[in-house]
Amino acid sequence: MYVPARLPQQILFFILLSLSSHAVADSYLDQLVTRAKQLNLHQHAYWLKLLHYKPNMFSGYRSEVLSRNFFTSQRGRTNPEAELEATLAAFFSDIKETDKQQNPQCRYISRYHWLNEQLHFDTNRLKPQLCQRYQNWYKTINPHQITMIFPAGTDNSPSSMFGHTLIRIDRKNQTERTRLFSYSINYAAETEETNGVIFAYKGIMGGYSGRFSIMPYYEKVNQYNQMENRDIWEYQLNFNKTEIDRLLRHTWEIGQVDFAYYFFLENCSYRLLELFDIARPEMNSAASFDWFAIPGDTVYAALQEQGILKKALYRPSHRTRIRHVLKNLDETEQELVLKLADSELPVDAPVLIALPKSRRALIFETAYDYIQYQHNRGAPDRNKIAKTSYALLKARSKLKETAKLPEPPVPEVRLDQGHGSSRIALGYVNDNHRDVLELKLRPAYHDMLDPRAGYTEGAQINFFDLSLRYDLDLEKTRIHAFRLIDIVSLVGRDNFFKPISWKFNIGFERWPINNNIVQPMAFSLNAGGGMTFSLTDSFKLFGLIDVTMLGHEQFENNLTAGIGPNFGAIWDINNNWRLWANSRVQRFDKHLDLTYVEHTLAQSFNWNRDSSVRLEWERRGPNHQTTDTVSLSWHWYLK
Amino acid sequence: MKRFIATSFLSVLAISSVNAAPNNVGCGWGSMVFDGDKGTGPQVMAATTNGTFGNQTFGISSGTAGCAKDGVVQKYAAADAFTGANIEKLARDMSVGHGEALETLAELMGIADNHKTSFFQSSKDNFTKIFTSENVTSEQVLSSLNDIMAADKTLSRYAV
Repeated sequence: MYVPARLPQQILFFILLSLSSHAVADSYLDQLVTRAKQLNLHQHAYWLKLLHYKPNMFSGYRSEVLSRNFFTSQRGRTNPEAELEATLAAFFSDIKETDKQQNPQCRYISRYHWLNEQLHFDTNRLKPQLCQRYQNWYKTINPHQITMIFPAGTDNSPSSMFGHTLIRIDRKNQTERTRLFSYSINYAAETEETNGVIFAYKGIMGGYSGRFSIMPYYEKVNQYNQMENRDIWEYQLNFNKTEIDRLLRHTWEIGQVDFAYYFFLENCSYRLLELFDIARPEMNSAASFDWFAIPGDTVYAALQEQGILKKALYRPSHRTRIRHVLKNLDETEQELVLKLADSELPVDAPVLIALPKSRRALIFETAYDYIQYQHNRGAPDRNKIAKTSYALLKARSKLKETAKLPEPPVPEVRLDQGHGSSRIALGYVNDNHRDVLELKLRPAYHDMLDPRAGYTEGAQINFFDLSLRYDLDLEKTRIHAFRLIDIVSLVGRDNFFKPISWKFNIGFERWPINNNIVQPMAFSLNAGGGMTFSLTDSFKLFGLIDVTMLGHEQFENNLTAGIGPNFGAIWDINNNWRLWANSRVQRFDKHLDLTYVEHTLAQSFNWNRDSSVRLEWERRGPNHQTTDTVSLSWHWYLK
Repeated sequence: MKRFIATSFLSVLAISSVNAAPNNVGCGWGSMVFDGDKGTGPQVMAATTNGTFGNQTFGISSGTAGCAKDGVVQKYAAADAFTGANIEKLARDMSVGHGEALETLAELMGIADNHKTSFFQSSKDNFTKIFTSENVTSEQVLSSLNDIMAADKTLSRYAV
C-alpha cells in the first residue's frame, strides 16, 4: 500500500485500526450471513411477514411498503435475500441515536429481535444498542393488553359505511372506567380529502398511500362516539407479553413508512390482521383475504383464533345514549328537554321546579347532551350554545341527586356476528310469463333485505352486484344487471334527530328503451334525496325525489334524463321477517319520451344468519304497457 | 393532516416560549369550553377523517413534537392534553359528580382510590368556581381545580 510520507503517524495508525476492526466485523458479518443462508432465513414465513413481502403473480416477491428507507438494501423491496444480508450488515453500524435519527438496530427493532432469536448474536462482536427512544416510548404506553376497536359504519357516509378497525394498547392497572387515556394505533389513508365520493374513488383505485399513527384513545372516542355517532365494539384479546412486545416493536419499525393503500383490501382492517400475525407467528389471519377485507369479516377472522377473545364490550355512541334516555322520558319531559336545549326555557322555570329533583337532574343532563350532539353536527351559534350549556350544568351541579341514566342495552348480535358480506343467490323468475333462472353474485356488503343483525340500521351498500339470467324458453344466458355501487340511507327522523335520506347507484341495467322482447342494457346513474319517518320501531315510511340518467347509443348524444317521486315503506314483522314496498315514477326528456313506473313488493325471511329466502313482485315499464315479474330466490352469505 | 401540522407547529412555538415549564404548560392542546369539536359536519358525502382527527394524533417513532415524543404525550402534560380534548365531558361529569372523563382525569392526576370520592364531590360542589363562566379555557379550569384542591384538607397533597 502506498502511503504518502507526509501523512502523520497518528492518522496512519487510525486508518490501520479502523481497517482491522472492519476486518473483524466483516468476518463476523460473513459468518452471520452464511448461517442465515444455511437456515434459509430469507425464505422464512416470518421474515416475509416482517418485510410485508407478497408473492408476485409469477415469481419472486414484492413488499407492500413503499418507503425506500424501510429497506436497507437498494434491491430490498423485491429481494428478501439481499434485504436480509444488508439488514445484518446495518446492525454493525455505530450511528448514535438522536431525536432525528436512530441506530439501525433500533430503527429495525423487530427484525433485530427476530434475527437475534434465529442467529444468537454474539454481543462481543455485535454490540447491542440501548434504543433509549424505543424504551421510553414503550414505558409511556405501558402495554399490558391488546384490544381491537371496531367502530360501526355510519349510516350516512359511503366512505365509512363498512366501519373501521384499530387497536388499543391497554395499560397495566387500567380499568374499564379509565381506558380513555390508553394509546391506540390506527392505520389510514394519507389524505386531506373531505369529499367522500372522491375519497372512495381514489381509495378504490389505489390513489393513496397508508400510514400508521398513534393517539390517545379519547381522540378516537371523541371522533367516533361523539362526532360521528358511531357505536364502538371493543374486543379485549388474549395476547401474552411476548406477543404484545412483538407487536409494539413492529409498530415502531413501520411507524414512519408508507404502505400501498387500497380501500377494499389493503386497508385498515387488513393491516391490523398483519400486526396480529406478527404478534403471534403461528397466526395467518391476513392470508385468507385476497379480494375484499371488510372490517366485520376481518374481526370475525381474527376471533377465529382459538381462545383469543377475552371479552367484548359495547360502547354506545352519543346519539345511541341520548335516544335511549329519551325512551325513558314521557312526552312532557321530552318537550322540556327540547325547549331547554333551544334556550326557550330558563333552567329555573316553575314547570321545572315543580318536578322531582331526580327527574330535573335527568332532564338537565339530557338537554346538555342533546346540545352537544347538535353542536357536534355543526350548529353555528357558539354564544347561545355556550350560555345554555353552562346554565344547564350550573343548575345540575346544584342538585345533589344522582340521576340514574339508563344504559342502552347491549345489542344481542355484535358487529362481527352479522351475515357474511359476500352473497350468492339462486332463484326462479317468472318474467312476463317467461320462465327464467337467476344467479346473483355480490362480493360486498349489505342491502335493505339482508339479515339486519350486526349491521347499521337503515344503511344499504352494495358493490359489484351482478345478476345473470338464463331464459328457459329462449335457452339464452344474459347479464340482467350489473350494479357497481348501490347505496341507500333511510334513517327515520323524529323531534330530536333529523337525518336526510338519500340514495345513489350506478351501473348497467335493462331498460324499456325500444320494443325488443329482451330490453337493451343501458348505463344508469340514479340518485335521490328525501326523508324517512319512523311511525313505530318497526314501521318506516320514506319519500325521495329521484333523478335518473341513462346512457345508450339510441339516444341523441347517447344520453337521456328523467325525474320523479319515489315512495316506500318498510315493515319489520319480526327480527327475521321484513316487508318492503317501493314505488317510483320517472318522467324522461324528449330523447326517451315516456313516463316510466316501477312498483316493487318484496319480503325477505331469514332462515339463519347466513341464508335467507326472498319473494318479490315487480311491475315496471312505460306507464301504458307495464309487465310483471315474480321471483323466488335463496340467498347465501359467506364470511 | 393540514391541521395536524399546524397544531404541532403551534405547540412547538408554545413550548419554546414558556421554556418547557414542568406543569400546565401550553402544549397547544388547550381549548375553550363549549367550543365544540371542529370535525366534519353532517354532510352526506363527507369523508370521515379515519386517521387525522384531533390534534393529538402523531406519527410513531417520529421524534419530538411539542409535548409528545415519538407520538406519545409526556407524562407531565398528560392531564393537560386530556383536559384540552375532553373539556365538555369533564364539565358535565363535574356538574354531575361522576363520570368516565372525571375518573380518567383523577387517574392522570395520580389521585389515590380512597380519595377519589372526595375529589369527585369537591369538583361538583365547586363547579362554578372551576368553570367560572361559559368562556373558560382548559388551562383556567385546571388552574382553578388546583386551587380548590390546595384548599382542601384531603386533596391538598395532589395540588401543585
